[in-house]
Order: sequence, then structure tokens, then C-alpha cells
Amino acid sequence: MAIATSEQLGVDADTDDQPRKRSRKRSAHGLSPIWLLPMGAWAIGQLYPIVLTFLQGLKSRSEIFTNPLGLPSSPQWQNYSDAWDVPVARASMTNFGLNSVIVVVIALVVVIAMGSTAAWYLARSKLGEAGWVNGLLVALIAMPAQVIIIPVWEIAGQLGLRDNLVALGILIGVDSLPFAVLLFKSSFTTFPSELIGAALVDGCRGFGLFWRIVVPLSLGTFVAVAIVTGIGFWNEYSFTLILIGSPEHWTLPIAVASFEGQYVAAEELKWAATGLTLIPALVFYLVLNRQVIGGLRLGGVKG
Amino acid sequence: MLRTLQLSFTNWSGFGDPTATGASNYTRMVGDDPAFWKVMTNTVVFATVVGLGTVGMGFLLAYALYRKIPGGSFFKVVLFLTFMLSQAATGVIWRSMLDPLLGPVDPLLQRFGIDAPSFLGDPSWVLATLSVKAIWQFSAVPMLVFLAAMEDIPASLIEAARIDGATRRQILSKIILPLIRPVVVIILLLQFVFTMRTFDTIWVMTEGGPNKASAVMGTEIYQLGFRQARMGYASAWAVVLTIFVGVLGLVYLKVFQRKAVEY
Repeated sequence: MAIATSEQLGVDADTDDQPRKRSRKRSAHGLSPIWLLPMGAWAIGQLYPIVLTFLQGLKSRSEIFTNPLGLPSSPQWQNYSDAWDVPVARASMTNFGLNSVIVVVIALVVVIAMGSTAAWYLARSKLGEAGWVNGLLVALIAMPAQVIIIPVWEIAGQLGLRDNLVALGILIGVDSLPFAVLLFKSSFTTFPSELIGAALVDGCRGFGLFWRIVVPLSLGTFVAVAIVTGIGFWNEYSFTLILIGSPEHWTLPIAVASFEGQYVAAEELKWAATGLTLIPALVFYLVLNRQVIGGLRLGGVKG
Repeated sequence: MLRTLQLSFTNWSGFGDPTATGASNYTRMVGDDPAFWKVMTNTVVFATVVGLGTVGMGFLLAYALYRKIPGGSFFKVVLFLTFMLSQAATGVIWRSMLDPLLGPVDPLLQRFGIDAPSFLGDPSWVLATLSVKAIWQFSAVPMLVFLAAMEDIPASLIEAARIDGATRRQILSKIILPLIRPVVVIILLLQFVFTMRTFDTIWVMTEGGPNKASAVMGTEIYQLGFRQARMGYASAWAVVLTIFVGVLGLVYLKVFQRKAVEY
């Protein structure tokens, strides 16, 4: 069983548990304020459209035209509750949110369950050591989604699975499988072999070994994969666009894209509604940002 | 995937059964379809600009963070925010923002006496605008990877250079840049390849318009297959896209390969 060295992986060998904050003392440079200005400017640029969305959502309809740049003169909080209540294409915001959740959960289950087990197998078997396996995984990741979009649509039609959220969830999950397998595999191949050896001696084998030893100790990787793929699932647009027809089954991204047409002459509601759809992601990120960044780093460094 | 290849040799409309038409889809694409070269060019230009842009921005941001600006962790959090949001949502926001009648950008520019062009309506501006939006949204990931790479450089190396009297700029160019070069090369390739497939952002903001000025392969495939019911033809495009990406990737790696990073 080949164990990649930590230099090759570019990651600290014990990054398995917590995404460790890279030791700040590595950089030998001191504090450097001149960079503050451009960085600050960029940060403002990053935040501006988002902040704008929420602000515009607080203005009254006419104020959006008369006062596009300033702060709302008197915040119209009811815009937000209105946006929540007003049906969009015969479906409500709660619908969209729920649909998104369903799809994401299913996709996550698929990715984590299949990805980790497949990767464990690869990490432990002779097959996984073959160079072409990694190459294949990389190639699958690089493959543009458009390549399979048409046949997928065709097959879904034949199976009567169009407009089916569960099928969509499975599809999206499978689409991210190569990436997940790659990440899991990297992590599993550096799993301490003494622990495995000890377990084998105690008679713990196969799935039991995986479930009771590897998984609990690789929780960090699981979390990282879940987060990185989860973000993609939550924001998924193209497959959903193709496979989901009825508005009751729309997920949030699709719904947002339709706002332009749905909210004609109700600008303030459009902004408010868009703001509402951003909230779950924002909250999630604010609460879990360390894990998110750690997960992304894990994914980015190995990718 | 194979089915896509198979379909590319037909003129299927998405309904009924496909009828084989040989390689006519391909010949038509290259010979007859004026959109083909336009779309190809758009795709390559967009991918290049955004690829370089995100990598460049990512590098600058990473370096700034590496140099420990005050409030570094705050910035890190802020910078990743855009990546978290869907391309659809941010696309809608940007489009509304840039709307000449309803958005704040135009009035803002007016204040400075600049007569704003129609960012999304003017064919000569459209790709640039979309590129900016893409760079805005995706610079964070290269940044993270570069930062990790920079922090991997042993402090002792930098110390030694410092002691020898190297200036910051020298340290940057002689030590940091060469050492993270392999990482930069790979990330650049990845960004390029991933951007080639862009669909969400562009579709939501312009649907490839005006008049195909911002059409890229991703949007074209959708347009042909799902709007014009020319699935066979769309499949051909998909095949071309894949081959193109594959070839580019290989060529790139051959040219720039220094040290194979094997995963």
C-alpha cells in the first residue's frame, strides 16, 4: 500500500482532524500595512453587491428609482415579509428552500457514502496504486458537465425521472463523486497503518474496520468534503435547469434567476427576494467559516 | 458520454428517434455556422481572461495576506463570501446592479462625469463585464492555495535571505515566485479549464447575447439543445468542447511541466 508522503500531499500529516490554522509564524515578514489599502478596496468591492441587495430591498418602490445610491430613507422591512409571502410562479419561497434542502441532502448522502467507501477500497487495494486511477479521477473532474447533459436529459426522460428532485439529487451527487473520491483517497492513504494493523489483530475487518476506526478518525476529511461539495450542490444551476420543470420543484438558484421576469415593476420585492435567498448561505458561512475555509483549502491543495 | 458522441452524429431534436446524419453536424459547424468561431473565440478569451484574472488577483491577495496585513483573518472571511453564493444569485444581482435604468452603477458613474456604456447590452463590453464578475466571484480559491503554498516555504529560507541583506522584492522574486511556480501553473490550468465550462453566470446574465456576443460553448450547447431542439447538433458541440479542453490541457501540461505533481 503506497502511502504518499506529506510533502507530496502538501499538507501536514495530521490535518486529518481539524483544519489546522497554518502556523502564522511561518512567514518571516512582519506586519505590512501598505497592503491594507488595496485589500480593503477589494473587500469593499466584494461586499458591495451583497450589501446593496439588502439595502435596495429596504427601499420603497419609488425610492429605488429616485435614490439608487443612498441608504434607504425609511427602511421598509415589510418588503421582506412580502417577498416571502408573494408566490413566484405559483410556488412559494418556502417551497424553493425546501427543494434546495432535499436536493442537497440527497446529493450529500450519495457523495459521502459512495465516495468514502470507494476511496477506502482504492486506498487499500492494489488497483488504487495504479497511476492511471488518479489520472482517470482527475480527467473525470475536468470533464465539462455539458458533455453528459444531453444524454442525461434523454435517459431521465425515458425513465420518467424528469422533474424529480430525488433523481436530481442523486445525479448531482454522482457528478461530484470523482472529486470526493480523490479527496478521500488522499486522506485514507495516509491513515496511520498502525491503527489499521491493531484493528486487524483484534479481528476487526472489512466494513467494521472502516466504520469504526477510519470514519471517526477522519471526521475532518468528511466534514471538508461535505462542505466543499455541499456548497456546489446548494448553488447548482445547470442540471437543475435542465431536469426540473415545474416551479413547485424549483430550487433556490433557479428561482432567483427567474426573479427578473417574475417581479416586473416590483423592483423592491425583487431585491428583497434575492436577499432572502442569500441568507441561508450567508448564515451558514458566518457560523462555519473556519470549517469552510479549511475544507476549501483541503480541496484546493489536493486539486 | 459515449451517448453524446453517438448523438453528435445525428440530427435528433429531442423528441422521437434520432436519425443518423453522419458527420454533417461537424462539417456544418466548422464550415457553415458563423456562430461557431465566434463562440469558440468567446470561450477561449473568456477563459483566458478570467483564468489569468483570478490567478493574478489570487496571488496578490495571497501575498498581501502572507505579508500579514492587520485584520488578515477578517479579510480571509470576507473574501470567501462570494464563492459561497450561487452564480445564479450573484448573476442576478450584478445584472440588476448594472441595469442602466434601475441600477446604482450608472448613477454612480454619472457623478464622476462618466457616461457609462451599456455593460451588458453593448457587444463590445459584454464579455469584459462578465469576466470582471467572474473574477470578482472566484479569486478566492487560487488565493487560498497560493497562501498555503507560500506558507509552506520554510521560514529559515527567508531568514537566511534576510540576513544576507535581500530586500522584500528580491525575496519575492527570487525565492517565493520560483518556489510556488508549479502550484501557479496547475491552478492556472485548472481555472482555465473550469472557466471554459461556464454556463450559470453567463446564462443568467445575458443568455449569450446580445446576438451571441457573450455566447460561450457552455451556453451554446444549452441554447442549441434545449431552446432550439437541435440535440444532435448540440451534442456535436459538446464533443468539440471536451476534445478542445482535453487537448488544451495536455498541451499546457507538456509545455509547462517542471515537476509532475501526482495525485
